[in-house]
Order: sequence, then C-alpha cells, then structure tokens
Amino acid sequence: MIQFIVKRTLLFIPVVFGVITLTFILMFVVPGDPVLSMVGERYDEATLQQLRQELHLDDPIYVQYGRFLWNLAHGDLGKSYITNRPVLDTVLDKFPKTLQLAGAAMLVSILLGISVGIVSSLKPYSWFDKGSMVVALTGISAPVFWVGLMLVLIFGIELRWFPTSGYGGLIYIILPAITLGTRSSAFLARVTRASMLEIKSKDYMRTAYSKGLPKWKVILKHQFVNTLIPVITIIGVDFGSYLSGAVLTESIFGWPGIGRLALDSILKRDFPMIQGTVLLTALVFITVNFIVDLLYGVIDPRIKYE
Amino acid sequence: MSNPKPDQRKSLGLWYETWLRLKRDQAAMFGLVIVAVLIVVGVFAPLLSPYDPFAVHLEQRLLSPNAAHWLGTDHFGRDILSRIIYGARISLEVGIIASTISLLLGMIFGTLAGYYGGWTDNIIMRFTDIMFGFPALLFLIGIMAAFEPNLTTVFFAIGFVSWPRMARIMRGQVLSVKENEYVLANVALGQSDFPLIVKHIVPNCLAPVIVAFTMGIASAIMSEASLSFLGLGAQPPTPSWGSMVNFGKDYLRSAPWLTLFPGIAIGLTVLGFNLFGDGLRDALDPTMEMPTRAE
Repeated sequence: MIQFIVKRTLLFIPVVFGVITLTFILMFVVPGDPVLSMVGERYDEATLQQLRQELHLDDPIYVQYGRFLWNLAHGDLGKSYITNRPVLDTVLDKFPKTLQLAGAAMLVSILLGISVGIVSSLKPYSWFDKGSMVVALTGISAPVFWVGLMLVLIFGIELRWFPTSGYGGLIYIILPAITLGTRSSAFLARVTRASMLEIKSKDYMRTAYSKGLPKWKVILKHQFVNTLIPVITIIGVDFGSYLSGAVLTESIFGWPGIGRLALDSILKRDFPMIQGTVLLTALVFITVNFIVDLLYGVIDPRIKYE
Repeated sequence: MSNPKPDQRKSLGLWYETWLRLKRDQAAMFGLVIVAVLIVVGVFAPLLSPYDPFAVHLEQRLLSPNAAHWLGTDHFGRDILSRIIYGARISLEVGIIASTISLLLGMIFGTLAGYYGGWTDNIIMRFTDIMFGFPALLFLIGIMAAFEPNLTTVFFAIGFVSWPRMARIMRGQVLSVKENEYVLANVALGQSDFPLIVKHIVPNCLAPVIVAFTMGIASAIMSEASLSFLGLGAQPPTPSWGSMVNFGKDYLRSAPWLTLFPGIAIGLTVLGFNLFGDGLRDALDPTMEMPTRAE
C-alpha cells in the first residue's frame, strides 16, 4: 500500500509544478498591458513606468517566474489590482462557498443518479428504465446555464417556492445545487446502470444467489459494491465539472463563490486575482483526482499490484 | 446447404458493417436525423429563415410567439426563429472547426507519443496531465480573457483545450497497433517511420478517434454556448445560441421565450451528436475502450 501511495505521489508532484508554471505563462502571454487597466483613461508615461516598477513588471520573465514561485511558497499570491486586498484572502473567503455548492450538488447527483441507476438496472428495458434513461440523456445534453434559468423561471418566478438568487440559508442552495448536479446525476445514472448490468451476469452473482442470500443483500453487497470503481471515477471527474459549472451557476444565482470571482476578475482584467483563482481551482481539482486515484487502491486491492 | 461457405462470403468492410449495425440502433438514427436537420438548416439558413436575423424593429420588440413570429421576437424586435436558424451555422462551425483542430493536434502528439515512446512519450503525456489539471471551462475562460473575445478565438481556444483527450486515445491505439505483425513486417522491410505511420498505423487507429471527434463536436458546441452565455464568446449582434440566452435572461420574467428556444436548440444539437456518437461507438466495436463522454 505504501509503495502504491509513494508512486502516485511522485506522479502528482510534477503535475502540480506544471499547473503552477502553466498558470504563470498564461498570465504572462496575455496581450495588453495590465498596468493600463489599473490607471484607467487618464495617465502619463511616468505613472505607468512607476507602476510597472512597483509591480516588478519590467523584470525579465525568469526573474518574475522565480519571484512568483518564491511568493507562492510563502502563501503570497499578490494583491488585487482593483481592491488592493491580498488575493489569497479573497480566494480563501470565496472558496468555501463554492465547496458548499459543489458538496450540495454532489449530494443531489449521488442520491438521484445512483438510486435511479440501480432501480433502472433491476428491470432493464422496463418503462421506468427507458423513461429514466431518456431523461438522463436530456439532462446530459441540456446546457447547465439554461437548466438554471429554467429552474429560476419555474420554481422561483412562477411558483415562488425558492428565492431566485442570493446566498443565505438552506433554501438558497437548493436551486443552484440542482442546476449544478443535474448533468452529473444524469451521467451517474447511466454509468451505474451500465455497470450494474455488466456485473449481473458474473459468476459470483450466481453463487451469491444460489447460496440463498436475500435479493437485496446480493444487490447491495455483491452487485453494487462492485460498481464502485466506475462510479467513484465519475464522481471524481465530475468534481472538475462542478468547478467549471460553478462559474455558470454562480453567475446565474448570484452565489458569492470562486466561479463568480474568477469571472468578475476576468471581466475587470484583474490579473493577480485571475491567476489566484485559476491556480487554486486547478490545484484543488488535481488534488481531488489524486485522492480518487488513491481510493482505487483502497476499493480494489488488485490495482496497486499492477 | 443454402448458406454460402465462409470463404465465399463477400467481405463487407469495416465501414459498411458499421453502417448496417448503426441502422438498427434507433437512438443513433434519431441522433443522425437531428444532426442532418442541423446541417440542412445551417447550410440553407438564408433560404429557410423567414426574416433577416439582424433587422431591428423596435416597434415589434418582445412579441410573444405568434403567427407572424413563430418563436416571438427579442428585445430589439428581431425574429427569434431566424436568429436560431442562423445560430445553427455558428454552432456547426464551432463544432467542426474546434474539433478538427483538436483532432489534428491530438493525432499528431498522440501518434508521436505512442510510436516513439521513451522521452517523447513522457514529455507529451506529462503535458496532457497538466492540461487535464485545469477544469475545462475555467481554462477556456482564462484563454478568452487573455485574447480578443470573438469566434475565431473561440475555435482555437476550444481546440487547444480539448486536444489532450484526443492525444491520449490516439496514443493508446498506436501502442497496440504498432505491435501488429504487418507493422513489424514493414519495419523489417526497412520502411522509414513517416510512411509507415501514415500508411499503416494511423488508418488502423481511427475508429475510437472518430467517435471522440463526434463527441468532441457536441462538447465544443456546449463550450461555445457557455462562453457566449458569459459574454466571452461570440459578440453581438452575432446570433450565437449562447449569447441569445445571455441577453434573454434579463427578460426571463416578462419574455421567457427569449431564453427558452435557443436553450432547446443547444440541447437538441448536443443530444443529436451524443446519441450518434454513442451509437457509432457501439456499432464500431462493442468491446473497444472508447471515450464515453463529452466534457
């Protein structure tokens, strides 16, 4: 087990480093002078020059890169060009709110996706199976932002069951969570169904039934447990789609999370903030994938011997 | 014995056999119909659209669906049906151009990695790992922010963000194909790398790549719609479906049809390509490791 963890970690470190570097490069190749976006319409050359010096933007790229890494190692992501607040503070303030949303969406998708998938697989090609798979396909194909707006229209504006936007108690998170979770619950339902059906015909299923175990026990303990690898893969992969979808969902529901922060700072061309949000999101994303990777070894001990 | 002996049966060829299987798949055929309709609508947009999609008629703004304007009019009094018809062109363009860019980059790097192995493989694959480290839409938003937001940038940005998936699929294929005896035979005959790759390896790797290409069109269309919805893709007055939803959302309360119809158009289009891609995957080879989703 330890060997497995060490091996995975060694693969993980260069990716972290690469993500950091690519984020730096992305911001460096940006055409247009970030200083210009700070000073606005009226400026003179001397002020520009001074600002560039203050921000060390006139140093050669390797010096800037070195400083970027050094500061990053000390938890310093720079200051926002707009608010002058440290980027890390703002990002850490917004991130938990996105995690809340992603967590709620994940809950929606797991509850809905896995249960529909299991029930569908029990009687394949029944009306429930066919119906729910059509709904699932529609859920996969519908754009996240459109699903969100339709939920707002139906449950917010017409029925007035939920607030149309804002951040607060439990009632505020319901529509955004459904919006964000729809696509992945649809996908999860399909994957759960497919793997349940695949496992149904395995020898150990027949053995389990023939030794007289009750049906529910066979389904949960022998059939469902063995679908966990693909199911957990999907949940892990979908975490990335939550972070992407958060940009759309948060901008529709006015949710004060990292997605909206990223979008706002991009529209305001607040480069340190863009860099900070992109970097942090990517780091969280690859860490989640890393954890999922390790989980494989726990769920299926055969994997770590490969 | 009425059946012909096996050696007398005519070989149908991979693509004809695939088509025969595909024809029996109702869902895939439904997808194909959607795609075909989309192509016809896109190509013949000027003939099919009842009005000029750009013509502003302020006296006719926000009309609900009626006999003259089947899907209503928007906040500038433009006919929504006509804009959706022209929007099909944009979605098709984005889907095909962006996926082709990703296909070419992915095939080149995937083949290099799979064929040469060693350091080439290591560098390319680690780079794709890094690319996978960024949530796709966030990465796209970052690129769009860095450059001028317009459709050309969208093509390249989506192509650039999505090639690593294609490269991985291609690499996996090349790794298995290059072990085949006909490849080894050509190596033994002294054929040099380039003709060997182009003539014998690449053509035998295409099946999953084509499936990924089909799915890639769906996800490129979705990405463009998302970017345009955020105001970072197609700029007004371009009738992109995503930006129609973006401008429609301000009238969600008073004129929901501005949001409803372009969204349905996006969903149907993506559904069509997904269904067709799914069917193609199953028809080509049910046991093959295939891409299962468009990100």
